[in-house]
Amino acid sequence: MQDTLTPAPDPAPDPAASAATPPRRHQRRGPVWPWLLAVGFGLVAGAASAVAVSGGAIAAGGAGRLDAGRWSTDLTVGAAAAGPWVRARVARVGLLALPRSETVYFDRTADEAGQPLDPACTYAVSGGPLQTRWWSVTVYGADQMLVRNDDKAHSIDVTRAGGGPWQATLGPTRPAGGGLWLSTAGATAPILMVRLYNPKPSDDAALARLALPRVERVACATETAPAAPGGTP
Amino acid sequence: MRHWILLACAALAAAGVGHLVAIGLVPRVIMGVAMERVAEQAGGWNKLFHAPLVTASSQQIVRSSPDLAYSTCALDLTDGPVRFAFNRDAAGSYASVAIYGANTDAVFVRNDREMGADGLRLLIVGPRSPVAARPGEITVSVPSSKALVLVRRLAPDPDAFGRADAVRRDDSCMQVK
Repeated sequence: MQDTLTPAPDPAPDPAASAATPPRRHQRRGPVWPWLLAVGFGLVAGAASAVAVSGGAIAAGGAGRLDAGRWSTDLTVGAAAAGPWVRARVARVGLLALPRSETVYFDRTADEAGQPLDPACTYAVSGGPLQTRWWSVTVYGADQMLVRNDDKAHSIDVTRAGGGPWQATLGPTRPAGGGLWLSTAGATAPILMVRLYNPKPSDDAALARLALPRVERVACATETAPAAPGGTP
Repeated sequence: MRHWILLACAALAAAGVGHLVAIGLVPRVIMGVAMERVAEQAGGWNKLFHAPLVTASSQQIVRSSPDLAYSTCALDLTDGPVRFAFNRDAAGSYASVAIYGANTDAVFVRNDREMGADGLRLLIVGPRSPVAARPGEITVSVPSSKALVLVRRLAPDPDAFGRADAVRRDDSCMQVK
């Protein structure tokens, strides 16, 4: 077994044989392929982990993370102070975001009970005045793009909601009674994003106290349309 | 046994290197692709492109806002600076001009309330560009030879989009000859 690192028992010296075989140092060197395999596997696994941690929400567990209720943000977005992980995450989930001096972005993927937003469910979204020059709430899909449907209900903003308390519906079907609507039709795992342009004040404590919109589950398709007894399966 | 431990250590070290390299590359690669796409849409580098109303079918960039009218100019500062002119909306609607470096950092941001009545005039220079600003121009130094100007104008409905579109037609983005 000359291709392993396990040393073989020393044979009796044989001048003729030693002249015909390469130096012993070379015999002990193992094959290269396990090392190439290990390094290759490591590189791929490392790159895959980078891709994994850079997806999802804008805010992760970094030093810039700030929570306001179920909403979260990373305040270093777009800034030179952003670390490489924040930059990578922003490139994938919020490319060309503005820094906090101009805009603060909060997002959420769960309702008030902490349950992931379900595109088959209907939610009541409610909010009030926000001390910003302009705000909006937009719904995206898991691919970080506007949900691919023709409902023209991807967003609501202060110009539509008004300056006082407001209510909207988040769900797959247009509310029967009209009103503001964020459509999740065609989404897999909806993400809600609030944009706050020129929030005042914008220090960390004030942002953490913001009364951002609440998202409460009303009903889900499986709850609202139970199978009728004796009906077709 | 020692052999396997050494192999595992090599794999772990390679994983660390792979992770850090990939994390460093992700923003530059994605930004590079975005800039190429913007340049392609505009018909070349250093040319202004006014994006249509953002819809589910027209969106190009992750998390675009359907309430904003976007204009872009992909900058190539290799052969010299670029002059950029932004014009304000008389109605005072929100607008901003942001310039992003190749690593996704916003190196310059100014909104409509932070500029004069006639808007903003910028001379955007790269790492090795000579600086030759005109009176009234702001010089913006970008640490990379490629960069991106992104203009946002508030346009939450078709009428507002039409007004923003009329104003932005007077903006310009041109390489200094």
